[in-house]
This record gives sequence, C-alpha cells and structure tokens, in this order.
Amino acid sequence: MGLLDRLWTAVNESLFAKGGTDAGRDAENARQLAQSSALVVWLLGKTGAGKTAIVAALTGDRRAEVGQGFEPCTRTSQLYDVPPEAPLLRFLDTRGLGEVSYDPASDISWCEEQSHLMLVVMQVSDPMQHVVLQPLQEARRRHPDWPVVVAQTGLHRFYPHGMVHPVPYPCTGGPEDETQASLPHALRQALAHQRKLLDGLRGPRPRFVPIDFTVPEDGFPPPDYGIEMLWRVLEEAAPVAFEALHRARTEAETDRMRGRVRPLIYGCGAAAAGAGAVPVPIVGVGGLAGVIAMMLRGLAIRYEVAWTPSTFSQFSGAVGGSALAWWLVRYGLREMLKLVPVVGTAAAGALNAAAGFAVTVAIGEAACVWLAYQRRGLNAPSDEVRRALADGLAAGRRQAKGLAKRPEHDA
Amino acid sequence: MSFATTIRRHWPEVLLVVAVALPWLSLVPLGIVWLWQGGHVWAWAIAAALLGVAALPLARLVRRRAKAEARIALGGLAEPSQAWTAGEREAWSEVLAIADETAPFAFDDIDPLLARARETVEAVARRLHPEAHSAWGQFSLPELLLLTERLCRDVRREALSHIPGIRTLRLSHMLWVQRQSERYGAAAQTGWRVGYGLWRLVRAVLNPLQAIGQETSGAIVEKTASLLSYRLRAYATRMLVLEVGRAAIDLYSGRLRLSDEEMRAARERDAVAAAEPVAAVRLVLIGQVNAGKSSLVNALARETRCAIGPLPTTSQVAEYRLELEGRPVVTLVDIPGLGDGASLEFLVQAERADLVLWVVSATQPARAPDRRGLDQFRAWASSQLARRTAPVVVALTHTDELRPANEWAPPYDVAAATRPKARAIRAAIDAVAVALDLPPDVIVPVAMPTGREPYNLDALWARIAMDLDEAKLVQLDRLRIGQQGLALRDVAHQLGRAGRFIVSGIVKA
Repeated sequence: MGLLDRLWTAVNESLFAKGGTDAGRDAENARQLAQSSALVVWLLGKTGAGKTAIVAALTGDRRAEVGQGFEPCTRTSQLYDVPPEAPLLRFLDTRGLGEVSYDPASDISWCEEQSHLMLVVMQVSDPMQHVVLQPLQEARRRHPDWPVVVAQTGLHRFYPHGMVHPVPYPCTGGPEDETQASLPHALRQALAHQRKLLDGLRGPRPRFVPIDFTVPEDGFPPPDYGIEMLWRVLEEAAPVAFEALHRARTEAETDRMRGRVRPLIYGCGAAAAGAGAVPVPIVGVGGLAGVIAMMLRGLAIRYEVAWTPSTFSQFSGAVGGSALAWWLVRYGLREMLKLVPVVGTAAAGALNAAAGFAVTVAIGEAACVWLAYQRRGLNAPSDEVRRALADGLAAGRRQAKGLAKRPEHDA
Repeated sequence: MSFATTIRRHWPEVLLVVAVALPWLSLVPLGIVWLWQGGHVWAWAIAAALLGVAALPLARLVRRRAKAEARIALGGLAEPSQAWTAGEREAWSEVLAIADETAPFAFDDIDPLLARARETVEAVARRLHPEAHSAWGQFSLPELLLLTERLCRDVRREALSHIPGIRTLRLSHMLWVQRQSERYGAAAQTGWRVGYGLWRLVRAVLNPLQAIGQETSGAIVEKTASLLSYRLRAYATRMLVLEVGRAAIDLYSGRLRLSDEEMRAARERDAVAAAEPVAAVRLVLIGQVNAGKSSLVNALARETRCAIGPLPTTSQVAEYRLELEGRPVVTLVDIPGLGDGASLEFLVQAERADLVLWVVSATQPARAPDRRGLDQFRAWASSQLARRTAPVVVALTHTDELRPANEWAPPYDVAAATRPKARAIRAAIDAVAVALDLPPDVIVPVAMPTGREPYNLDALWARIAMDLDEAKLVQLDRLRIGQQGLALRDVAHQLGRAGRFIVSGIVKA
C-alpha cells in the first residue's frame, strides 16, 4: 500500500527531523488546526460560581492546573485549551463578569467564528444573576440558535444539618425538580427562581443541570454529584467534542494513563480532520503526518518514553503497512482512505476530514498500548496493539460521522 | 492710704528690715570701692563681659526650653476634640501652627498678642467657610451669644479656682482702683520716669563708679527677670491662642447652633417612635442580596423579627429597636440588598447611619458589588468635611459553609487556625480584607446555621461596642447637620414670639 508507506515515511521524517524547527512548525500547525475546529465552551458565571470545578471535573485536570491554564484571549476573556497541544475543547471564561460595564460584544463576535456552546454557571444560593443574564440575553438576541446549558451549582448550601446528597441523583432539569420530595424545600425554591430568570430568553429553552462538585473533605459524597447528567446534556448539545471527552474520561479504568491522554488523541484527530477540510497551507500526507508525529511525540512525553528510530520501526511494523491495510479493508475504510491525498476539493472535504480523524485516533490508541508496555520495559504483543488500532478506527469512524454532519465545517 | 501713714503704722517692721538688710546691701558699694582701690576694676569688667557673652546662648536655650515646656505642659490642650470632623481638625492644625510661631507677649505691649488672636479667628473662619465672602462673619447672633455664655462660664470657673479671695473682692474695690489709676496713674508714671532719670544723672556725676555698678546690675536684673518670666509668658500666650482657636472652631463649625438642651430635644425627635426617650445608635446593615442581613437581624435580636429565605426577602427599609440585657441599645436598619445594578439607594440609608454593618457572605467570591458600594460610601464620606461619618464593621456570614462544608463544631480559633475550618475562615477574612480594602480586624466571622446556635455573635457585639463612642459622635454630627433643615421652622417660631411681644407692647401702651 503505497499511500500508507508514504504516510509512515513522512511520520518517521517528521518525528526524527533534524533540528527543532520542523517539529515546532508541525506542532504549531496541528495546534492551529485543532483550535480552528475545536468546540468553544463559553463559560458564563460569576466568580466562585464553580466554573473551574466544572472544567476540572470534565477534563480530569486538577482544579489548580485548570486555574493556571487559562490564557488571555480578548480584553475581557481568557481561554483554556483541552488538551493544550491540539485542543478538542476550548473553554472561554469571561473575566471580571460583574465588574463595571462589561460589554459582551467582542466575546460574542469572537464566538461567532467558532462552533460553540454557552455553559451558564449559577451558584444556586445566589439569586442575583443580572450580570450573567445580560450577556446571555445579548448573545441569544443575535443568535437564537446558540445552545445554552445552565449548571446550577452548590446544592448542599440548602441542605439542613446532617443531610447528604440524595442517591440516586433525583433531578431531571425539568419542572418536576421543583416538586421532588427528596430535595429540601428551600433548594427547590431557589432552583425554580433561577430557572424563572431565563423565562424570557429568546430561542429554545436552555437545559438545566443541578450539580454539586465538592472535594472529598467537604463530606458530601460523591464529589462530582450530577456529573453524569451534565455529560448527557452536553453530549446532546454538542455531540462530537463531548462524546470524545466523555469516552476519554469513562473508559479510563483499563489504563488510567490512557484516559488522561485521550483528549490529546481526539484533539489531534480533529486537527487531522482540519488538515483535510480547512484550507490551511498543509498538503496531503505531509500535513496529516505532521499531526500524527506531533501526537506521537506528545504521547511519548506523557508515558515518559522516548521514541527512537528502532522503537518507531517496531511500532510501525506492528500497526503499519499491510497490517494496517488489512484492518482498513476489514472496516471498509479503504475507499475513504484513497481520498486522503486529494486535498482541497470541497466535495471531498468531509470525507477527508473523517478519514484523517479516524486514522489519527486509531494510531493514537495503538500507540498508547505500545507505549504502556515500553514504559515497563516490555515489547507490546502485536495482537493487542492491532486490536487497539481496530477499536480506535471504529470509534474514530463513529466520531467522524458526527464530524461530517457538523454544519460548521460546511461553511 | 499714703506711703507716710504706712511707715507710721509699721515703723518697727521697717526698722527690722533695714537692720537686717543694710549690712548685706552695703556690700555692693563697698565691694566696688574695694575693686577701685585695689585697681581690679578692669579685671572685674572683663570677667563680667565674658560671663555676659556666655549668658547669651544660655538665654536662648532657656527660651527654647520654656517654649517646648509650654508645648508639653499644654499637650492636653493641643489635642483636637474627639467630636471634631476632618475639616475642623485641619482648622485646628492651623491654630496649632499659629500658636507655635507666636512669640510670648510682653507685659508692656499686649497688642501683638491681640493681633495674633484675631488672626487665629480669621484663619479658622476662612478654613471652615472657604467659599464665604467675609468668612469671619459666618455665625448667627444666637451662636455668638451661646459662645459668650460658654466663655463667661469658663472665665468664672477659672477665676474661682485661681484668683484667691475673688468671692470677697467687690466691684466697688475694683472701681476704686480704676479711679485712683485714672486720677493719678499718668502723673505718677511721668513723675517716676522723670525722677528716676534725674536720679541716674545725679548719681553719675556724684559717684561715677557707683553709677556704673548700679546701671549694670539694674540691666542684668531686668534682663534676668524678663528671662525667668519668659516661661510663664510663653505658657500664657500659647494657652490664649489655643483657647481662642478652640472657641472659633466651635463657633464657625455651627456646633453652637444648638445648646445642650436643644440637642437633647433633637435627639428625641430622631428616635424611631415619639414615645421612645433616647435615640439609639442607628446600625445600618448593608450587603448583597442574600448575604444574610435579615438572618443577622434575627440572630442579633434573639427572635424572629423579619422574613428570611432562599430568595430576596427584604424589599424595603425596616427598623428594629433592640434593648437587650448587657448589650448597647441600637436600632438595626435592614435595607434591600445591593444588586448587580448601580443603584445608590443604599447611600441614603448609609448617610443616616451611625455605624455601618457591612454584611458579606464568605461563600460569595463575587464581591464587586460590595466593593463598588463601599467605594461609593467612602467617596461620599470623604466629601463630608462638615461632619464625621459612620465607621464600618464587617460581618462575614455563612462561615459554616466554608470548606470542609459538612463539618461544623465551633468554637474555632481563627488566630491559631489549627483546624481546616478555622484555616478556611482565616483565609476568607484575609480575602475579604483585600477585596474590600479594609483592615482584617474590622471583619468578624459569624454564622447562623438553621436550627442551630448562631456562631460568634458575642464577638460581633464586642466589635460594635468598640466603635460605639465613635458612632455616638457621628450621631451628634448627624443631628446637628440635620438641624439646618429645621432652621426655617425655628425662625418662624421666633418671629411669632417677637410678634406677640410687639402686640402686647402696643396693647399696654
């Protein structure tokens, strides 16, 4: 399979390029590609409403890391990329909401160029939400179709002494929460009050999710109360990015490291999809190879293993060449893959994007297995690596279908 | 009573004095004669000149010390009154500057001192009425009369305590002294001056040596006496300038607008209900919506006085009078919470506050509305030169919900902060101090958990008690300033009374 050989050669070249310039350029390209296609989650909430806790719970990063990871974006907002090398999600946090004269216009117009979701965060014990509602109403006035999810946080503030979270999680986000007998009366009142604040909002009704993210010392187990419902609602609102992130978080039992690195894999997948779909100066295999090389380098750093030409040729022997081709045939991607080098034609854009996504994710999953063995000083059994590759392709294809449907990429 | 009759009546005493003093007094001329005969006059003159030169810096030192001593001795007098506002304190520092640079008065020329006193009054008037065209006239007749009344009272008290026998001294005695001085004073002074001058001339001609000696000793004695009285004069001068300054400040600040009795009446008008005899200190609770103001009112009152709940409950101003055993009598004023908007309604209440109790939730890190409100209050307060404004105490509520949230076992030693909860409370205090730009010691952590004992209210009461004196002074100023609004009514009342006098006069005529 000439095409795949060329891909591996290009990855090899990129991975062991002399000097840092090529590697740096590849990484920068991959990052820009990923950023342009990443989902922007616009966090709207007062200081201390629990925005950082939500980002921490969704990404698995510790709160302190999240807090420091934010970088300035516009004059009034800052961004947190997950993962930073090739973001799958970009959390946009409005700085100084509630300070004098916040004008959401620049943040709104910035968001117009991105696919996005508005995640409104309200501490349930705080009935005064004017500063949050004002930019929300402004955004919906201009874009009634923008999805909005409202997280109502800090439920335990209304628990009487000695009460703990009711299990199983009783809320639905609908009006039945207000008559839910397992919740204290004051809490139900407060939930209803905040929901009423959004009654006049233009466009479809937002989804409401009561949650309570605490730390174990607080004594309100579980510490991420309501996170499953939050995942569900977010996945409904923005399937691609959140499904990928959710998978990364939930399938982590087999290999905890793998769960941590998966956002990087999916971010690179998105970047690879971008390489095929977005008009950036990357041509075909070279661009895809650059993204894959960047991903492999990032994975190696996280697994604390260094790639050498010999370990890389062993790995490519396990997954590359005919082996990969065999799996590709089996999964019916052969036809798609043929189109990979045909870059820049609008008709093939979505397919190229899907193929690039699936292949990148598959190689990333396989690399995880390979690196996990390497870390223990062992060589991974080829079978297990190939199984990971196949699973990755299958998952990547599922995601890629969603990717193809994303209207933003038609633009 | 003439000189001759005195001698006649007391001749044995006179003889005794002469007998005892004469041998010693005779030593001066005898010593000079001895110097003359022995040819030591030059040595003596040189030594005297040298000592005179040495005395100059000593004299300066004595003067300086006298001034400093006067300053220290009158330190209490130089302290500004507790009740003064910032503007009045500035005027006072001007008075102090004048007092510092005023030279002690001389007995023979009192005019410079009087000019200084006038200058002090004018400086105070200018400072307190910078915009007025003729600042010195910015007082009303009743104010002047009240000042006079007060000065008279002070003079009487001082006189009684310092002038011996003043109760028995009759006005007729003083009139006699005045008459004598008027009748003979000028002639006596001229006579003394002419006579003394002639005597000095005659003395020089008759005995030049003795004349030199007497002229020298006369000059030295005069000089030393003036130096020794310097301390007394510095003392008196400083006291005069300060007293004049103090009276001027009281006059021009409008503090004399009401007498003590009238002030009491105004205070009664300020009381919540007419039936209540004394106005309690007004303690206004300011804070964000649901910071826990109403809960705090209930906890302080030890009973449910106002509605509380998860939604905004306080929509209008409500006043609650507290008379609890062992606690100061206060009026708690619960006002609607600070919203996200820029409403200035709370300032109206803050202006009527004697003490502001700022209620901040420990679990609400979005403190921009608090900071904005506090800054507005500070801006208003710093523009109030004519009155002092309420001190601010912060009640940090909801500390029971701090991390770890499900643990609540007071008391907590916030200073030592050994337990995680105490550390969290300490951190919250520090965070609020930074966010609101307040010293941490005005921030008192409290908690009113539902169904359990409120936490740390004793400490909050203690903090309030520390500021109670200040709050009372604020109240006095507030009533005084507020009284200006009533002035028209008073004027009408006075006119009415004057009218009755005139009418009754006409009727009688």
